Amino acid sequence: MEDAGVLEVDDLVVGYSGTPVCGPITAQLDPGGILGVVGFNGAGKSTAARTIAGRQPRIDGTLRVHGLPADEDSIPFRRQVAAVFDEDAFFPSLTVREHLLLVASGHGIDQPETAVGEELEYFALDSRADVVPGALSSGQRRRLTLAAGLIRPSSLLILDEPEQRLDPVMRGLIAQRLRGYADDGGAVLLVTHDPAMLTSTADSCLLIDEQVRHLPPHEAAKDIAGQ
Amino acid sequence: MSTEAESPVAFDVRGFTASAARAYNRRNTKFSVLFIDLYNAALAAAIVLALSGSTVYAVREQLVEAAAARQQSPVDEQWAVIPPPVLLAACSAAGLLAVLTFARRLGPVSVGRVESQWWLPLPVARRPLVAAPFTKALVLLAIAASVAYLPLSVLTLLETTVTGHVAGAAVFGILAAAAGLLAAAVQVDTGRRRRTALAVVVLLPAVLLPLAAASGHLWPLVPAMTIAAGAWWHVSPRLSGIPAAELTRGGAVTGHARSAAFLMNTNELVQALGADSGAEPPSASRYTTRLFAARPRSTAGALLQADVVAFLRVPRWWLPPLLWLLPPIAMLLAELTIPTILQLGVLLLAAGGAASSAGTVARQTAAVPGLDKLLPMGKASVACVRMAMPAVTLMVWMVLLTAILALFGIADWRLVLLGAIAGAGLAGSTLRSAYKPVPDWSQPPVDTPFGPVPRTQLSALTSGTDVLVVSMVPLALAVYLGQVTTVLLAIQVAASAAAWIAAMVSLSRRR
Repeated sequence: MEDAGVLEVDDLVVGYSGTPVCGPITAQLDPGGILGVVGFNGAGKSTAARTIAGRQPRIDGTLRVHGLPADEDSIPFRRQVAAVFDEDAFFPSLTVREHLLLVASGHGIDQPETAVGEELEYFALDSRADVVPGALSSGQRRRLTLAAGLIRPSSLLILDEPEQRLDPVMRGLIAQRLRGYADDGGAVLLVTHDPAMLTSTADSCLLIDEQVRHLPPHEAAKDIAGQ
Repeated sequence: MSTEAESPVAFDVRGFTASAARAYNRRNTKFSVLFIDLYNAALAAAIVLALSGSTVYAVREQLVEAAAARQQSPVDEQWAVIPPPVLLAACSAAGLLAVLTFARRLGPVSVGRVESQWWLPLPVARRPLVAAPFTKALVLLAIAASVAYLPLSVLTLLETTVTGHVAGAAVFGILAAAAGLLAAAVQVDTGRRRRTALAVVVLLPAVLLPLAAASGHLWPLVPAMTIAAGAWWHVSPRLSGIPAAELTRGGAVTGHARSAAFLMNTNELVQALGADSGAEPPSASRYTTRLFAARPRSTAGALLQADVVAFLRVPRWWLPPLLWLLPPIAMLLAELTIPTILQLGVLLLAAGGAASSAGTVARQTAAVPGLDKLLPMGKASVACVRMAMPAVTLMVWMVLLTAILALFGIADWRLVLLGAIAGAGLAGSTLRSAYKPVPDWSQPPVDTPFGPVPRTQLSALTSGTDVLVVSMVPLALAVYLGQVTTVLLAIQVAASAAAWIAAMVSLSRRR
């Protein structure tokens, strides 16, 4: 695995069925870096994140993760890239613990039960570990999907508005966790509307507006607050 | 990239999920509840089998009596009469092509929303995730196809033994599974048009195999199984290569269709099954673009123009109405003297199918209520304009159908005039069906001879069908009597006008 350039994006244009939604985007993300992505609703932040996660084809430009094309159908890509979007689908007969065990075991973690126990505690889900997700509150379900994204090994973490449905305490814990992930050598692409989360985590920031601009996180945070 | 990074994780995702779900269900399901569920399911199946079995038997008795009495087909042109085995082969071909088409729309290899979120991002081999449910679906398809084939065989091959019918049904079931596999072959490969054409070329001659099996031969099992095995041999190693986006698309369509069927929402079901499998986007041809650019003279003209353009941009809009012409024609030309009630039933079914296929745009506009309020027009006027395009289509459809009926001597040529008026009335059914109320499942059920039915579900189920029946009664009478009278023509005008009024009232009542 190459050390430099976890994510390399050059003149990337994203959209649906050949119609551009936003771009061109140029950015680079190295190990230990956190790149914030901000912008108004409908600017194309989530579309860009989904494209980088390999879930939809790009329209134009270059997109490489560890030097390889972004493709969710490639096993090496799936090993390296963890993505958490606003998806709220769960197996109706699997408990919270079993959902996390599924992800941990599916990624070949040696002692999945231990890893699951740690994540349940971190996300304050330990008291709800043996109920099915249908019995959880909306915020608890969101915590479960975030825990599933963080329990597995990865070198690039893509989060689409992780602050949604979370209380301020949990938002702070997520920010802390992201910083720790980056300190351990991971790279994070963080799409957010939360100025506090942006300034407490991101090293650099992309503002997706009528055009895409690179801004320091504190300036981008002011822009979000203005919106 | 190291070899370890490229190799999939050896973990049985499917097995883990199944065993965890099984354990949870065992913990949380009481034996008494399970017993009641099983009892109800068995009872429902037994009732359906008894009702359909006795109906088939009764119809068969009538056919046997008619054959013994040497009753002639009502068709004057005896050269055009379809012998029963040919009719059965045509029905089989239609069934297999329907399986091929709809299986492709539903995937056929797919994963649901939950699986796509939790399974597909894992670095495991995808083949075990999709192979088992696909195999299960194929087995169920084979059983369902065999069960559906059996009554057709019983009603058309009057001289065949029970063993022959069962053998024919078994061979047809295998062919249906093969059609599902060929749909998967289209899904896993590029060059879809070529693959689809190849699948059709393989399946069409195979419709003779169930007929051969029905006449007491066992050898048709061999070619039928060879087709299925060949398709499996081609598809199986390629299951891992189906892109996640395609698996998810199929799962979304399947989920949509399943929930629509569960809620008995026919509009949603038609929408789900009509979903494009990604092969062909709606076409904006130069012709329709020019048509849309023409300046309308009035508000109603603008709405009509938009409707016509939207209709002409529906991919292959002309195909379903043409296909719906075939069942009544086939039934009319059949050598068997089919009971009148069954003939009229097929005529109604075909008219309903044609009316529904002319309603694609109406269903789209019904789904977005704001569209009807864009222009400064009353709801009744909007309804009238919305019925214009379906009315033209259905009048042409009815003229074609009745012209063929008249050509073969069912009635005189005034039947065509009657048909054209009935076709205009069918547009009322199209619109009323598209704008039918959404079922309110929170309302208590009402008792019916078929058991308790949710209150608003009755109106949702009958909305559209009621107007269809009203529009078709005079025409059906003319077909039954074999003549068209002035009184019938007058009744038909009144019935079609009533259908339009009912549709206008339906649309006006919507918020």
